[in-house]
Amino acid sequence: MKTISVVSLLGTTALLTAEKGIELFEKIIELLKAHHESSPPLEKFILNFEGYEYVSSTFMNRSFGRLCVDKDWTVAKMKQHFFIENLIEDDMEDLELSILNARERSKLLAKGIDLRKHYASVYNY
Amino acid sequence: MPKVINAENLIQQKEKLPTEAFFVDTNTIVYLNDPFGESESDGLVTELNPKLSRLYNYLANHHKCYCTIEIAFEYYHHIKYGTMKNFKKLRNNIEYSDFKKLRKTDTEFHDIWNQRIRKFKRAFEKRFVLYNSHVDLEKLIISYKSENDFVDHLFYSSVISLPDQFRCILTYDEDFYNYAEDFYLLTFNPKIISLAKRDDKLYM
Repeated sequence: MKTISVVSLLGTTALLTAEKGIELFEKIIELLKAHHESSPPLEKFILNFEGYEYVSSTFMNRSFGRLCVDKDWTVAKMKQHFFIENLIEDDMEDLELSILNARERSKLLAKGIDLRKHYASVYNY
Repeated sequence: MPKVINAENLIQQKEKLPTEAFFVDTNTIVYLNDPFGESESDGLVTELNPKLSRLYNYLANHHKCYCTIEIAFEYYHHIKYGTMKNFKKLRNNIEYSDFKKLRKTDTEFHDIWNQRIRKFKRAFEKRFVLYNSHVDLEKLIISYKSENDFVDHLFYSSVISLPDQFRCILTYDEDFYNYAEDFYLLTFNPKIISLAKRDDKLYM
């Protein structure tokens, strides 16, 4: 089974920025395409987070949040397509929340809501 | 008046805070925890979320990280208000008064509420210890001025009631620059840093 080291792929143990999140998103899309197009079908791949130090919600939103909106996947559906290993429990929960948030935001956008204005009154601290 | 610490400089120069501990304001927790995924598109949150993640992880190795109960309450209210506001937009005929009913009976609401509250709890279980301050409540009310935010006043009073080695606040809120007592104000806010330079109050 193919294993991708996220730390090696992105060249950093600090998984923080939007740019790195997008880079991971693009890699996942590439892998999914390869799996979908191969004959016979390949086994599911593994995203291995071993060696990371910390991860931000920006990174999660731009990688997994965006992935699940693009594919219209729930968390459960995403897990049918690849494995995630060596992410601590708290960060796994943050990953799942990033997907819930992304799907909710997508629904708000589909209703024509300007998210900056919408959240402006919520962010008032 | 506070002495200001430029958070970017602190990390770049690998310096430590002049205090043993620091306290976080609501905006810091909100930008760091990003309960609604705003860092996906909002400029300020996208900018601050990774910076605060890096800052927190750097500081946690050297200093104690605290918060107070009024900040926790304000953050809880932020999550509750934002969650309900989203549902009002997505569903028909939802009112803020439906909160308790939705929490009990609506699976979709329950799931996302539950995840946000789990993250809320983790913030105070694992990152920012809730500090039991013993601020003089009578003095607190007497000293409160209506032009200030009451939660800010309570939070500031709690921190100022502590010994010097605890008097450091991490915030993006410019209002804290106007408080009279001596403490350290750790920030990424360029406006605060600029004011501190002007007033010769920039510590780092």
